[in-house]
Amino acid sequence: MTDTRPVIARLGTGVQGLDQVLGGGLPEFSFNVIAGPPGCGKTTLAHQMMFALATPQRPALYFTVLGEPPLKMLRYQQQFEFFDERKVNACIRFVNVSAEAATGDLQQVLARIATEVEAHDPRLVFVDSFRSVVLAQDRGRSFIGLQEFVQQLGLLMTSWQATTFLIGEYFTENDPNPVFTVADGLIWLRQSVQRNSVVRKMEIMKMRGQATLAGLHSFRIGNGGLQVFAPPELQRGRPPAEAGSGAPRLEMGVAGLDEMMGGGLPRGYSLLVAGPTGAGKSILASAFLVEGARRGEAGVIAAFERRPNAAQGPVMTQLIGSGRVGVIDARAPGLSVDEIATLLIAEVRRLEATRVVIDSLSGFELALAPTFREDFRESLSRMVLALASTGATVLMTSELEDRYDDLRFSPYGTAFLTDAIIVQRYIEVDSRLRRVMAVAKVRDSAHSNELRLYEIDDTGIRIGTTLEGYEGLLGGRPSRRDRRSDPVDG
Amino acid sequence: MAAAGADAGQVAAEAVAAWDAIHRALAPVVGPRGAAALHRRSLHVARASFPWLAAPCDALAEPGDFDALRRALASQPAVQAAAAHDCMLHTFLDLLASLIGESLTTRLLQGANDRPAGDISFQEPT
Repeated sequence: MTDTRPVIARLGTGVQGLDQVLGGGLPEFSFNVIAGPPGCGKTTLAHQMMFALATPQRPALYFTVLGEPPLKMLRYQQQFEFFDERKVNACIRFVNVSAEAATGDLQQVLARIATEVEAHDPRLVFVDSFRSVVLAQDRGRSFIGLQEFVQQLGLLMTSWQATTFLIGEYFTENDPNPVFTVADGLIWLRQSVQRNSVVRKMEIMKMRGQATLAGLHSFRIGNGGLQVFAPPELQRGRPPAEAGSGAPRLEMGVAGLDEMMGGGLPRGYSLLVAGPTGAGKSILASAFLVEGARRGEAGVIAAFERRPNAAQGPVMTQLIGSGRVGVIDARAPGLSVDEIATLLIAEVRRLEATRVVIDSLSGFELALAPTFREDFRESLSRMVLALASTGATVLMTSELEDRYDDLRFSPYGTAFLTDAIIVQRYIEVDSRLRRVMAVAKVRDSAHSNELRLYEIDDTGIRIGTTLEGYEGLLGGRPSRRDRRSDPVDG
Repeated sequence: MAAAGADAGQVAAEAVAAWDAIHRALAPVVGPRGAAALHRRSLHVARASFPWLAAPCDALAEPGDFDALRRALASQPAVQAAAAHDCMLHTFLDLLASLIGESLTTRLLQGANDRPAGDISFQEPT
């Protein structure tokens, strides 16, 4: 038997990240509601999709009702890069139906919409805003109710093969609004406020015929319009066999460290460098990227420290300037882990980068909007997996408060996420503060178990010897060992 | 004198035809009231230089109704009427361009500009 089910074409929305959240794009001829409070970006989202989708073969009609005056809407929407004024009155027509709405008779609004649709035969129809339709109806003498209006509109648009959007305000999620029943798709925009941080979030509450990405997805509105940050996807197309302990190893750029790690860091691994402030984590991270650049590998860094450029040193600054190391702008307020992950993966793809640095997880957590901090661990785990699936090797630093009563690697329990761990410590020896580091873990690989002294000078990190003849180094105050009572040396 | 009067009438007819075309192009997009508001603003600005525009200013015309303007223009010498119309038109275009940009203004009014001045539908009935 041949399959005669209708094939639903999916339209690319032109909004970065939205197609992914929608589960592959917008179903053609669907009847959608874009809902949310004022100022959350509904009209911008509608315009962005319209300008991306409208072509001479797929013309669009944008009905403005009573809300925002169309002149103002055109004035402000023109500020976005997607607004292509050449499409106006060519494949995009704005139609104001305020006169009909002002009568309070929804039948008149519907009749006008029908007339315009018949005249222009659009494939895309927007009604902005739906709230004013509701208000118009509230005022008065309408012969049809809201539900009937929506049903008739839906029927009209489907039979005219138009993908339709109602832009609405002030809907409440719990209100069993008839509009929601009729709609095939329901895109809800929110502004989440926690303490003094405001974050925009989008939820696809309904999209008939396809599996959407559940949950709230943060988005930003910039000059280019909306950008939605979907959870990072695992990348396909990279042979996983290439990663792992048998994979080629990456040089760390610090003499002696590769040997300690059993021959370098296996490609595709994630490495956590944990240590107290001033221990040289960022320097180690920079050395990792500089070494990559020396070998012709591109790198990407997300720097959350206060003065990223100053902290990186002149070589890194030069690499960043020449574009061989990409930098993720991590200073925007209200960041989410998904946003950083999206930016990192995009930059890795752009530069075909093989080395990624996140400096530091502590700074990352501070940069997050409070609303995302609770889920930091889960989101981070997702991000590390997604980054690993690109084939890149990831180095993350973690600020570690020096505690001498226990050996911890990260305050987030992130240690389990990573394939390898380098730990740095301060110790006191002969009234001097010395630094030691050790390789605590390299998954599926032999590595050194030595605690090695190291120095930081103008050239970077110089790894020295072990501190012979001492014990209790991890306690922070090593003591000279009595050799006669020690059966095992080393 | 009669010839001069006839000229003013012609100027008035052409001016109203132009406003009519602008209104037709703009009202569907910004709403009849939106288009009328812009026209009123132009009238008010022009009134400073042409006080005789007070009559159409004070008239409570429906959006798209330019009868009061036609009468005011027709009652003036042709040169004065043309200058007032010119002033209004410039003000109107500047105002619209300051709101939505010159390029989009031109695009939205393209229909109005393309219409031949002598279009039969804009002729005064004789």
